[in-house]
Amino acid sequence: MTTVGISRVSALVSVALSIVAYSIADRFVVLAAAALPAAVLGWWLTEVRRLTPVPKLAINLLVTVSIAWSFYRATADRGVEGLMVSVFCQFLVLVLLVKLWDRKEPRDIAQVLTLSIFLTIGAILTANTLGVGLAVILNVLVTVFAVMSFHIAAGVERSSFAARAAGAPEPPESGAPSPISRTFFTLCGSALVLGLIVSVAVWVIMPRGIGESEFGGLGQFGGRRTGFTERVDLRRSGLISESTRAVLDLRLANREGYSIGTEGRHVYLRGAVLDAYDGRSWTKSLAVGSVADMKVQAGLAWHLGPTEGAGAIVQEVVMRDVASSGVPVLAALDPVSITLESDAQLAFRHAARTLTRDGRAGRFAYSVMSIPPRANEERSQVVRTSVARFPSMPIAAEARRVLAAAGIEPDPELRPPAWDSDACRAIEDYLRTNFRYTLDTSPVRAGQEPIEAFLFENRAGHCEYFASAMAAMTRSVGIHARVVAGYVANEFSLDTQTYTVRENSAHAWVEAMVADGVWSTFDPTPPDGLLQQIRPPARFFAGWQHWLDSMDDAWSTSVVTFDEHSRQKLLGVDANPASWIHDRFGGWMTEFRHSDSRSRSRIIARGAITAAAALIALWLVVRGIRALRAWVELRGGRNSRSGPGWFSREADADSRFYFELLAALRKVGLAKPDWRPPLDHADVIGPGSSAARALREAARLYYEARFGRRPISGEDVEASRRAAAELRRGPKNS
Amino acid sequence: MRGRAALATSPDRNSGGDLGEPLTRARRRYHFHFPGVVYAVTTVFLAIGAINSQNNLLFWAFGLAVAGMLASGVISGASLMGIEIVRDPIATSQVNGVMRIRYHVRNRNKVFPAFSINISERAKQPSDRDPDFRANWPGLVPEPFAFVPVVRAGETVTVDAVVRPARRGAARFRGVAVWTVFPFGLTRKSVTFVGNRVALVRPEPAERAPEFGRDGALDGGAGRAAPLRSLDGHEFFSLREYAPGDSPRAIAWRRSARTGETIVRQNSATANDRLWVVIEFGTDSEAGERLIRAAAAAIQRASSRGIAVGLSVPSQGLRAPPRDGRGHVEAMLDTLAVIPAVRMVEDEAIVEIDRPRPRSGETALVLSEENPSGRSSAPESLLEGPVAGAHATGGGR
Repeated sequence: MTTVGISRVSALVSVALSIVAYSIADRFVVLAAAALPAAVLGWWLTEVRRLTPVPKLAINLLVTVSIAWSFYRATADRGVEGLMVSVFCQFLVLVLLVKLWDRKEPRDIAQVLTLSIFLTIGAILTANTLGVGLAVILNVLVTVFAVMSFHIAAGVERSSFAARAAGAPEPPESGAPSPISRTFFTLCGSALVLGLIVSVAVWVIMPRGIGESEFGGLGQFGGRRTGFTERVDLRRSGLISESTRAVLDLRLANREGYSIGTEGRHVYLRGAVLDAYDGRSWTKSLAVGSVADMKVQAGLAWHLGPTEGAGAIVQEVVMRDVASSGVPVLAALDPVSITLESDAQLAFRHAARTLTRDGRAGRFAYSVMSIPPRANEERSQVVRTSVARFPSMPIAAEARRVLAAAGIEPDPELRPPAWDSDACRAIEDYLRTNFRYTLDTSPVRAGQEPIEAFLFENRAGHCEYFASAMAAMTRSVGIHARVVAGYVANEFSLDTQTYTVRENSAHAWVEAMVADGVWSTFDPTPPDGLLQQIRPPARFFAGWQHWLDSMDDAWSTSVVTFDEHSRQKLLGVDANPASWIHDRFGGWMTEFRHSDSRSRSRIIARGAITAAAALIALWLVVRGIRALRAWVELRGGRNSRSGPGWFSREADADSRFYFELLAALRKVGLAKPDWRPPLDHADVIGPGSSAARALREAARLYYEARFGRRPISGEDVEASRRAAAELRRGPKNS
Repeated sequence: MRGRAALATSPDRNSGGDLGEPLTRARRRYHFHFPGVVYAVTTVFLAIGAINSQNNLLFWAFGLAVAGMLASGVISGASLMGIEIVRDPIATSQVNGVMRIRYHVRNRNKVFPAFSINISERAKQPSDRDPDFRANWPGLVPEPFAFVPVVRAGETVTVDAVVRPARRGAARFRGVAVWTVFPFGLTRKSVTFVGNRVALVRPEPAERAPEFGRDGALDGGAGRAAPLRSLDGHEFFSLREYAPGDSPRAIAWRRSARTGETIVRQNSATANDRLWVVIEFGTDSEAGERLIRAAAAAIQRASSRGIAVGLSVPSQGLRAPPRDGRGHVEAMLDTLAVIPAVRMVEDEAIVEIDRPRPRSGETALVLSEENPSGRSSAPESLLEGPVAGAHATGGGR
């Protein structure tokens, strides 16, 4: 393969790897599945089969469409976290595909490589998973090779082009030893090793925790999404994840720290409480009630309620990779106290008894204590302060029918509050026994109420349908109920005494208010169906899965969550050597943020003036150096003047007047290019002008002296010099 | 008494002294170009993004960007530092022909190979203000460019820059820029070498040479290649391969025995085979260029027939009497490469002094703006002044 061929193939591999890296980061497998064959096909047709590339007009049209599509997406889905990076990366993929179907000149290859590098950066901004890391590392190796070989190939192509233009035969590349040889590989490998050493050194040396979030969302990466969402949309089927990717590790302990997790015990980890239904989807109610915000420092407990009481459960949770904002803090039961491993901003919603966290993306570890609800509430003491409603007559009729069949009064006005718990249990049993669990749900027809479609037509669905149906039926018989989204932890390891929670363990269930302020958990999903969904990996793959989990965990612990503490530990230093930078930088930014607009303007103006003065000073220094260098070289050149041996210097001895005139022309902006004969130049600057006349006369004298070997009279020379002097003094068009 | 211009001497035949001498290294520079700016801006944004987000992979990406700069500087600097270059004398070429500039690139570095070495002639030098020598090739030839993919440590590589000259003249080459953007294209590193070299670009002979001569001795017919013949002079002219029709007496037996091919001697022409090519320039430089092309064609054609040919440009004080010999022909063509294409001396009396006065047996081919295809005339007619009418059918464009 020729040098050019090697360079181009490596560029294609670089593009493919960048697409793979982004697809892994954004978990957009379809993109990789579609883009990679399209890229290879375009390459094959234009490079191997040498077919005519796509016309330039079509290329421009496709790029314009890509821009328009990206702009539409960016504006239509505004507010979604990480959207801009996602849109930008997908735009890059589209442009890359278009370029691969285009012609392949060196400039195009350079553009493709540049886009590929930017796409790789986009992948880093999207997620920091092990897969992304491996893809990026591999891509760095290939891209370094591709860029280095590209610069050789570009030179080869340019020299071939120059030879063709001159009508000379192209130098046969096959005859010469290929530059992509062992020497090249040695150099390439050395550059890679040097690059990796330096990059790791920079990675370790760069102090962490300085300037964090000072520039808003710049560079913030999305982290991984949780397996559940804060919106249960019943009209969109098939959104239940079947991925076995580990999301978090959970250790259950009692107050004394003894592990209480056991194999076979399922733990419901509450994530989001969805209490508003709009006929299509469950979301968080806008009226969230009181919210407590707290910047919680690492190691210090934040108490959310009374921590005394029997049956306290301490949950030590390590979420492996989370987003930077709005992360649900998972907890079994109501959290009453929480302790974080690193500083973060927490928000506690009293009504829903849920926590969300804003902080650095990546690993998130915390310990949360929960107290079970009053389990032994006396039935006589149960009170009901309000009656719930659900606006669907068929569902209400069905709920009444179920309760009547169970011997429970359906009318909330007549039913004692203490029976609400039994009513919920009856509905839960009804759904568990009369409906089928499936992930293959049928789409809901337009205009149809999705819960009614589940209850009366399909009679099959996944956990979100079961939970929605139970919440709706429970509300229609006067009991407050809400859908809860989270995880079910069921994969327990006796060795580590921890649960491993995977993405396919995402689940939805119901909380119903069985007494005033007391919410009980009900899960109407058939247990068989639930177990089918959250079953651990098959035994055959369990070993691999465990190995991958360990790798993922090691990556997350050592790379993704590498922080100032880890850095100091690694470097063996106790203090942050850059703390004074932190103090000054942080102080400056704080001052800037808290200053009024006038002070800000003053600070900005001061900075701009300083920067401008620095630039001007730099410019003057550069100009001065250049002038000095030119002066030195000019002196050196005159001293070492030897002449080319073509025309004798004697011939020029008396021709200074000619060059003085040329200098005068230069000064007045009528410089004569070297290649243009003086008489032609006289025509160009205006045949009738005094400058042209002077030039003609000087050229005539010069030619006579040079070619005719005629002596030039002093009068002629003086006349020419006078003309030059007049030129210098006069206007340009004289 | 004024001096008379002499015929030019081609620089490539007169530059044996500096053959093989390395050019002088003048300066090393780093040029920050657009890709480098994009790289630097991206690096800054990576740093800000990493600091702002504490994204560890971004920190690593920033480290890679810094490492890229470092590796680029080390590799390119080390490879260019040991480069030494020699530019061979440049053979005389002609317009629309091929000019080949040969460079010998040596890597004196004992460790680092030099990859992706671009070589181009510099159009401008800091010392270009020196009137003695300024690079003027941009008006005559496209930018010469040569590329060496790799010069391994201690190795010397020879490479040609091939260009197609567009105008005649003496192309002055002042310096060579050796540059590279290897390995990552972040900056363009260059080393400038200074060394003068002149290459003549002769005019492209007109497609149809002007007719000359009224008698059979001179007139071979326009556009036809007259066969070489054994001339009846006594002065040795050259050796050439045997052609059918050559006299056996002309065979150079010793040379033929040495080379294994039949070689014949070609003697010089007699006095009757002498031609003056006279160029009467006017004020129109384009017409002058056409005359120069026609003159070049006439000189070559006459020379190929063994006719002693001379060149006269009365308005520039140039008069080279007809002579035999390849060197003389080359000198005339070289002179045609550099003379101005316009009348330089207006005074007709001065011009008249330089007009040739052909002797008996000599013929003059006068090329002028009025008769660009030329006219042949007897010596008397030249002395009498311009001759009206031309009987030649050829001519330059």
